[in-house]
Amino acid sequence: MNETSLSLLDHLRRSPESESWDRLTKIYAPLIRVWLRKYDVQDSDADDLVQEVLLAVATDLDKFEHAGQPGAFRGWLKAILVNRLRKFWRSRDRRPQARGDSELDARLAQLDDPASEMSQIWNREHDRYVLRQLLALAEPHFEPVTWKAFCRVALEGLKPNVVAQDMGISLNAVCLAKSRVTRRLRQESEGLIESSSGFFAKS
Amino acid sequence: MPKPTAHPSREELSAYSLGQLPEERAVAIDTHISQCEPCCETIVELSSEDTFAGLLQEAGRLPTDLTLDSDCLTAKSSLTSEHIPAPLAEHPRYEIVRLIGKGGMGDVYEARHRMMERTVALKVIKQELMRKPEAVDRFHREVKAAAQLAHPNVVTAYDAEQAGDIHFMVMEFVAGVDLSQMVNDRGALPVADACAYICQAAIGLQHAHERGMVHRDIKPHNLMVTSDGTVKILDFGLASLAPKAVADADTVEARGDLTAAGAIMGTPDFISPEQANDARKADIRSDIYSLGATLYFLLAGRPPFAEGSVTQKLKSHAQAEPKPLKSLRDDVPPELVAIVAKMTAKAPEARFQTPAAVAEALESLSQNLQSPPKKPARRHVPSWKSHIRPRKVVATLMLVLGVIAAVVAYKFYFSATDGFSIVSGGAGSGGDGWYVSAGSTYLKQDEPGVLFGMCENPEGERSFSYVVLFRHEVEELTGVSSASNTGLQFDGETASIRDGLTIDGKDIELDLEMQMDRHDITSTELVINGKPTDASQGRLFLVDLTSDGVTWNQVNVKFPQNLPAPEEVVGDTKLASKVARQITEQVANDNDQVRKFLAGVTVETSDLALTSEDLLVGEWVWIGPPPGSDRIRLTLAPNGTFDLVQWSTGQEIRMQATGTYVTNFSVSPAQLDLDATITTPAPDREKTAKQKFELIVELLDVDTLRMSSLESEWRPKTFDKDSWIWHRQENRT
Repeated sequence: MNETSLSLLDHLRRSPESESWDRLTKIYAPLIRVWLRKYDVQDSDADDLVQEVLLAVATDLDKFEHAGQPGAFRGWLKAILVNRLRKFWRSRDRRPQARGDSELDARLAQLDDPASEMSQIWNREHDRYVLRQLLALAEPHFEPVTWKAFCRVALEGLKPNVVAQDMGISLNAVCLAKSRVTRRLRQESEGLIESSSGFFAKS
Repeated sequence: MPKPTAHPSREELSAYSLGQLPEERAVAIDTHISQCEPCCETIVELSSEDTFAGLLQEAGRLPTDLTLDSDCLTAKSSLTSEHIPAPLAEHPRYEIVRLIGKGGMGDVYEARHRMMERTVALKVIKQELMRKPEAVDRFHREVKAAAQLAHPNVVTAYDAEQAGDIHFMVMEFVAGVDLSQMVNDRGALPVADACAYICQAAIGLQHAHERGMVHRDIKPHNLMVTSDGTVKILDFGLASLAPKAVADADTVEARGDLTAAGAIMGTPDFISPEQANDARKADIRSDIYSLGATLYFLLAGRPPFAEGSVTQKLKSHAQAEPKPLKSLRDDVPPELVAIVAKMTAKAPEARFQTPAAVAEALESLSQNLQSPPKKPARRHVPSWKSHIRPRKVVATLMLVLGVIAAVVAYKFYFSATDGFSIVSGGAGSGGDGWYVSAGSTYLKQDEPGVLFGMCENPEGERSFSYVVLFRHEVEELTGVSSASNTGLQFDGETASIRDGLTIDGKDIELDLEMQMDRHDITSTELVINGKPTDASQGRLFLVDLTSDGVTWNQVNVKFPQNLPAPEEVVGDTKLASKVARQITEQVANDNDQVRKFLAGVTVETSDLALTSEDLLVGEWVWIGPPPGSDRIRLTLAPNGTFDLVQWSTGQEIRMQATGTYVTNFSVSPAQLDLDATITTPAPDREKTAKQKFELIVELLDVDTLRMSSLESEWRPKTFDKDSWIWHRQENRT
């Protein structure tokens, strides 16, 4: 990976310090929380489990090999999540009574299976949630006008010239804003999000 | 400034716009773009897209704050990869804010009216439903009819609109959770909640019924609950589009789309037998059936007939009996079982004939349910009906059991609320006395108020406290006010008591004096004579009874031993001895009562979690008697520093965040069921490791001015950079 990369994985590997941990939590906690809920974990237990999953990620990160394969990290994270969920239900013996044990096991097995529809949903939601958090983390690094122009073009899908007119700024500024913020987001999501990988193909 | 370089190629501009270029090259083009108009126009014309750009748009539609409001995640993040349709995105009147939901009819967006700056919801009707001009006409007619409805329990429809070939309905924007979501999240609801929600829905339905309208698709998903507990019926007028639309969909494909996805009617979990048989036969009694099935769902956590195919379900609605509620939970009163049965009777004639009759039955049930013996009924008027009114205050003496968490020395908490505030205050101790005072207390004109103070001095084994209070009407300030209630009288501009008091064999002297002019209480002092210890502390409450509720402010003081002697307080000894006697007499009695009052309140908390920069005290659940006129206050005290965070009643939620604490706070209307999240930004790790956190939940019963509280304390058990494991101590008082 390139020297100036802002990638979280790089950060975490090089300095498993508090700052990177904060980032990891910030980026992944919401995603994990949503999925815990999908797997019937009560909110009261979710905090602990989120922490467990992220601790496992931080601890075992050295063992994780990216192997250049896009989406590897989210698959690995999913494996940890499945693992923790199984452990949770086993140890607490607190499966919701309304659903059978086997039903939950079956759903966990689905999530475990990389080819399943559930895994596809995981992949999509992973990318979405992670990117949403990266957006939040990136915002303070830009001028409010830059950020707003970027949002209107890149997030809301408006044409740059419409945005420029609307905001009363030059078209140049809008184009710059969109490119600059998108660049940073791509760098930050490198190795985390599938579609951010391999984007240097043209250069 | 460097000279503009040669124009980049179209490919390169596209890659640049998408942020695909390596940084070095991108920076070079930055310089070019900042000066080159034609290249910018090329970028506009290219409108490049790639996977990442698509993903950005999806991510942008997620709620911004994913960490705090967990409801957002499920209620509002139903996302798709679909973009906002262009005609809608460019609509002259409405600016789309975000996608907030997807339904059988189509997507729902939050939008702002550009001119009126009003937030609205736009429900886009699927194009399959609008293929025929008759369908479009009907849609406009139905929405116009629905727009006639104006009721707090009905989501207001504003208009039917068109943008290009997209038809949409403009309606009131309601922030909340639908009942289906609520049950999915929390499981079956408490009996009182379920009754309150259905009762409100029935009241809304009655309004529509009186205007000749039938909903035809009442189900949990169509009943929204707002943050203040108001239920609002969604989608009036739309359900009638559905069955006809199926018939209108003249291509096999369109018809297949509609039915295969169960798109329009969803699974028929709540449909009445006669409506399933022939949709044209649906009348208000069909809505009552659906509402009954919804009530069953809220109580059971599942629809009456959850198993089987669509056909089997329809058959069950017509012939079978659902699993008895009694077999699913043991706290459903027989009267309620009977109400559900009557609402869901197979024959329309056997049901309640109007929604008003349903509401009436539920209301009288609720009142019986919620009135424990010997309590005045008015306190238990279901909260969807009552607004808190100032009421008579009964003098009481309250024992606060257990130890109140440490308060900070010499530090006062002042908080301004509307019309009532402690402007300054002081405290001192020395020799044999200690005191708390609140000076220059501002009272808004014409608003009745109460002041009471409470001090405690945990000498020996047991702490004690007392409350002195009186009520006054500003108009009567110079006269005798609620003296009969409290034993306190105004003597010109001074109210005071002074007497001895014996608690647990210890002699205590009490002084209270208030100086006031017409609208200001200029000074208030409460003096305790007795040797203070390090643990001695005082609280002074100022309680404001106004037309919209009760608020209170308080001063907490801890008394170290080396403070100067208290100022001399002049009091009316005769009056004071009278009060003191009353107080003494009540100590013994109230002790038991306070315990009893607390017996019904349990608090469960989850452990404290430290997430990144935030400290989250997640998910408090306080289950207790219906809040009625109670006030709840939440206090977070890091390292013993009190800070008022928030208080609320069951009806209104107000935010009063001070310092660095933010609370998410919600209370369900019919039962006290409190979920709270407290966030403190960026605690310093090292410092946090040494901190302890106390969370105090207080409940003030406005009728009796009794307060009960629960305190939890967390200390980090282990604390290193990788893990935060917190240890909780709980004191229930």
